[in-house]
Amino acid sequence: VAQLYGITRLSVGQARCNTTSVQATGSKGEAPLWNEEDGWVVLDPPSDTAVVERLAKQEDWSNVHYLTRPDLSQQEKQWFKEAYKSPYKLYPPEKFLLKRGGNVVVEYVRVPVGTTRRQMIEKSFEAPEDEKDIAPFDLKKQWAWANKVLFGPQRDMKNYPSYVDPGTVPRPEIVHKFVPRSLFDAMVPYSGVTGFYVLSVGGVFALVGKGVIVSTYALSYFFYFGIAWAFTKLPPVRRFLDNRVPQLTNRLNEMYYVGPIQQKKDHISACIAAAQQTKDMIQQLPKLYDVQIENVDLQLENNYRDRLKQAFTEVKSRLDCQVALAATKAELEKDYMIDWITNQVVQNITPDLEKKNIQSCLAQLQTLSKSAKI
Amino acid sequence: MGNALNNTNLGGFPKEYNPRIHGAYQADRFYGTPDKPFSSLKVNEVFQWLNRRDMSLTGIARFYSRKLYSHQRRYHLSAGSKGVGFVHFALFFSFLGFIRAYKHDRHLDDGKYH
Repeated sequence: VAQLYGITRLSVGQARCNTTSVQATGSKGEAPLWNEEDGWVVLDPPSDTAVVERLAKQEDWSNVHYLTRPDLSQQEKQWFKEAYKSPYKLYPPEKFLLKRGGNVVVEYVRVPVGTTRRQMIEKSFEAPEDEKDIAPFDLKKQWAWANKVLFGPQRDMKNYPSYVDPGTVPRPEIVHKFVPRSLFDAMVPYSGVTGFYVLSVGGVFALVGKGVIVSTYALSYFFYFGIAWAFTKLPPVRRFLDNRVPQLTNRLNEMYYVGPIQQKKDHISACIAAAQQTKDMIQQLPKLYDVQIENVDLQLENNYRDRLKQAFTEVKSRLDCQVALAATKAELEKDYMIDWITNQVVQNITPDLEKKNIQSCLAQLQTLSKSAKI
Repeated sequence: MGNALNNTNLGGFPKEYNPRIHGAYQADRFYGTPDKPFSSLKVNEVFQWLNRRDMSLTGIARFYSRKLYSHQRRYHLSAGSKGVGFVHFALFFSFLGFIRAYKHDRHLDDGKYH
């Protein structure tokens, strides 16, 4: 397309260069190369190196042809050439280029001594160094430009006030759910308060009578809705509905919304109580352990005492056996000795000794009988 | 033939719109020369008023778009709208459907015993 709206140059290759709002003066410094009111204008690549250096310092690479950029390396010039010639290839942004020393990201900024905190904060909102020349976009400048354009000296605030968020404006008054009140009130001075109703209902009936709205078997069903709606407006029906409908809706609400939520809450509190109970039980567990230990100790004591008793009885039985043996032996000896002694004595008793013993006994008896008091 | 498109304005702001005067663009406002509102006209002024209006295709499209945006702003985007915009939309298209189906049952109009 040779002539495009707003562009004064015709060459295709030059049309691919973008321009920004840069104060670009001529190489001699006489007339400006570009005027703002011309809009999108394509410039020839400047041949003056001073201009190139000035633009390079401004970090505006859009008006500078790649052949005149001395800061680019050979590889980067080659990339730029390929991107310039091809409609599809893109010049890789600097942050994706492989650099010597590795692609290291450094997150500190050198600031001079005496920088205030505000200056540091404003600096932090600037774009990083590797993105500044790729897309020179300054938010503050954009806002300043918008403010200058939209709220400049020519602005007509009376007829075209500033933008109002529609979400903050309340809805216009509405009658019967879709009729605006302005229309309603506009008809009142011409046809009274019932004008709208008469026009709408009477108009429908007139059109039906004239045949514009065809009266088929289905037309009556349309009027049933209106009759039902008017029926609900009657006071007794209105009163009944105002009582019954909230009752039913509250029932449904409780059944399907409030009830399940309350069940969940109760379940949760029950779980919390059970957990608290478990926690308390865990707190009292050491007592249980002490009781169990004491139980075991008692069993051990019981066993010990049983064994002790067993040992005692066994020892005692052995000792009793020994005692009985000794006693038996002693008794035997005693009995044997007594028997032997008596037998020896009896053996040694002669008849005359026996006779003498009996005589002595009789004599003693006689003496005793004399002294006895019978 | 591409020269016919040199002075056209396809998909752009109206020629009379100037952000320095009118501020941010609002689709529901008219940025041309102010004229009397239609409701305050007398009957003999109606044709003059219509002649002053832009009756080209783009003008009609702009009028339609402005009305849509203003209706949306008033009834749809306002606080507490509760579906009134949808109801108006449905009624409008119901009316168009009525117009479309006007000829459907005309054979019943001349029925003697209807």
